[in-house]
Amino acid sequence: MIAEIGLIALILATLFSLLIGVTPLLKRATKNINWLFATKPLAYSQLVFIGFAFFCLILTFCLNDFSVVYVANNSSALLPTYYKISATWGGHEGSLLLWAVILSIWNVLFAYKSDKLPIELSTTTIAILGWISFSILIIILFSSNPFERNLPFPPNAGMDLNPLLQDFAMIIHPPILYTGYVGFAIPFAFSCAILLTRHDLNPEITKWIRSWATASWIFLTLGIILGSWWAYYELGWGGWWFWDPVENASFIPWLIGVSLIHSLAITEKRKIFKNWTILLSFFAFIFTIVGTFLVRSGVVSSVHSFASDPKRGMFLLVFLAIVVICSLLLFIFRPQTNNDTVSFSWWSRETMLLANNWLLIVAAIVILFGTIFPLIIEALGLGSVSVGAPYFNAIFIPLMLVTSIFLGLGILLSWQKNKSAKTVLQMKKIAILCLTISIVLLWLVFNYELIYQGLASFAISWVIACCILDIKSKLQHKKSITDIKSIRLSYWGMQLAHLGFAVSMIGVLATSTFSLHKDVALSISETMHLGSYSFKFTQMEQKTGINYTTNLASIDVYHKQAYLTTMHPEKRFYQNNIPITETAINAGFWRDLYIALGEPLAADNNSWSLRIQIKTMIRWIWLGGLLMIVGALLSILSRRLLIKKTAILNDNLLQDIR
Amino acid sequence: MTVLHRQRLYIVLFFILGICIAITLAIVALKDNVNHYFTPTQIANNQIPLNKKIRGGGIVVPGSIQRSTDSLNTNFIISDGVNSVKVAYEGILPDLFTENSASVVVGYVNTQGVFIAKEVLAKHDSYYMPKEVKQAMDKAKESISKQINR
Repeated sequence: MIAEIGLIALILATLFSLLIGVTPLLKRATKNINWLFATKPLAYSQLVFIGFAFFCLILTFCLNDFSVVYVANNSSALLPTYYKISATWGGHEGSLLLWAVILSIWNVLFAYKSDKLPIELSTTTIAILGWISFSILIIILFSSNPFERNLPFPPNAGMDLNPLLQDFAMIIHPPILYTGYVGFAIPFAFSCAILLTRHDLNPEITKWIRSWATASWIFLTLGIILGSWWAYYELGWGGWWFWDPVENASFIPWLIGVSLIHSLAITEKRKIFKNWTILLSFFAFIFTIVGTFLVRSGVVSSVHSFASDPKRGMFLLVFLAIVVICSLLLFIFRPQTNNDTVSFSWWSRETMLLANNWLLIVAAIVILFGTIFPLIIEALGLGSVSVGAPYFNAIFIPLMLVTSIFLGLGILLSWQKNKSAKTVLQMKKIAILCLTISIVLLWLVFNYELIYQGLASFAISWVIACCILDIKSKLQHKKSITDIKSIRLSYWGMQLAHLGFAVSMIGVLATSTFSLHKDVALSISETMHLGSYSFKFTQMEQKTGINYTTNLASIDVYHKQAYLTTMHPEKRFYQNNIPITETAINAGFWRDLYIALGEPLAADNNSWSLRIQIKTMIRWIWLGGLLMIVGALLSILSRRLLIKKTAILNDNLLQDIR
Repeated sequence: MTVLHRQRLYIVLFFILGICIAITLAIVALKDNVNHYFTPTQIANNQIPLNKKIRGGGIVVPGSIQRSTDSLNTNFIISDGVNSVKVAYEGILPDLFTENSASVVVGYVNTQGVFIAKEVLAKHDSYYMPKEVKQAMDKAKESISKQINR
């Protein structure tokens, strides 16, 4: 019964999103402004219905209604309740519904906040979001209905949630990642609305989009960090990034998002690059759909792929084609024409930002190319290939090193034209300093063999030095605390985010260069040595959990002969005898100790294969990401404090009514 | 040409240059880092490049897994239903590596025709069959049914 109610709610939500979409068209047809006042209430009601449908799906999971196909495939009666709830988005149908729910939440937030915008602009944006919502809901209803029943012979037990997904991160990682992903629909719809209503992308409006773009970028960053951390502790390989197609699918919009945020900053401050900014906001959302397509259609082999149905891929592909064609046509026929004709010299912040914008896009395209290359080869009938991590590293790392050089320059140079000879002199000084640092590191640490690492340390020290130099010169003329307080929060946000980028790079450099790794066979009471640590295998116990049995090992760790800790890696067996490795991690600021159990080598359970690793400074990678998030938060906060109540033209609204 | 026009021209040229560099980088990097997939039949018939990193895959033949008791060496056989290949691997096998399930191996084939695997992959989902393996098995089945029909 609940499933049917849910389905009805879903159908109603679909109808409501269609209604949201047609209101501006009706206004245009009837010349009656009143239609526009219906848009926002319709958006609110749409959220109520889709939210209710989602709630019904969660309820069917909690009540173990295995006559619903989706529930039977992704849950079981023994599953703890919190995993039953997270199992709602554990499969294709539910995660697509989650996508749609999050889109509606963003839409309502936008509707709620958009009172200060001209009504035509805000309602057109909401209507475009309504159309997107409508398309996704149609895809859900016709190709992946989560409420479908398996009648008349329902199974009496569920197939269980994939044991790898029975984890705390599963509860938060997908919703957060999707929030970031789907959030790029707002800048997209907003840009479309600006072009449709022939509005100018003026600084106030740009500031507005920038907050929304930054907000969704924050969620996307957090989602990616969580995913990376989850893969690290769950998969048992000790890797933190695999260049897996699904990871790339979230990383490509992330890179475009970085470009978009910076390009919005230029448009806001300098009133230039308006068309480029709009194009980027299109790309960010288009690549979000590409990502959804790659993940959800099962066209690429990935660790995330589950058995899939090609029909779903077709639906998503058609949707993608419509979005691309419509937005590009709009862009071609209604470009922004009132760019300020200010020119800027080569030696300016604009140039550096533009260069990095471009490098990020190049990186995104190259990653996309590597991700879909196997598809292209297969479509051409040239056999089956896979593109490994070395390809992505060979391209992405050099691009990022060049990016860091431009990043530093961009921070130090001023807008339009650099006039200060002092800045150039300082730049030369810190360039020499960074060169010295990297040569010393090459000599002492990398033994002259790792030229790449030397280059990377130059790039990293360059970024840090430029940030510090800029902060120093900013503080130079500030005499008192109140003077320092007058510096805008967004300035600190910018510096923090850029330093976060450097911290992440340090983490990547250190982890990939200094980590130690050994696969061994150990019997009870045997000891093995790795670096300055010793690991003694002391005990193996069998235990029972809620819905699994486990082999729990105890390993004493000694650092230079002194006892440090005892670690407990596990090998669990879930329903259907599926084995899952639970790693033991001793986390630290400078290093992680990482142990994963392999398998028993003898029948008596006393000898096991073990994977033992020391990951140097791996936490820095995620720490850097968190710093970027805090930086972005500060910049949103700063703008919110500055927004004046009187901001955007109420007379625009009056004109609309006339 | 005004300053603005010249600037636009430079920007366009700069972008084209960027694209060229990106494409060159991508092609150079792809050349060394693409792994071709070969079916057990192709490997058994020696239709493969020697000493080049390749991917193979198939169903792990029941009863073929031999583990050493004192080291991490494992030998097993993968098959597409018709032909089979011996695989040697040193290291820890993934959780979902079991008899009768699909697995993908990455490595080299030595002169004795043994696949020296550097990596063994098995998928997250125990019901999921890698696309390559499924195609290989279908192809092998097809060739058998053709022979029978003759």
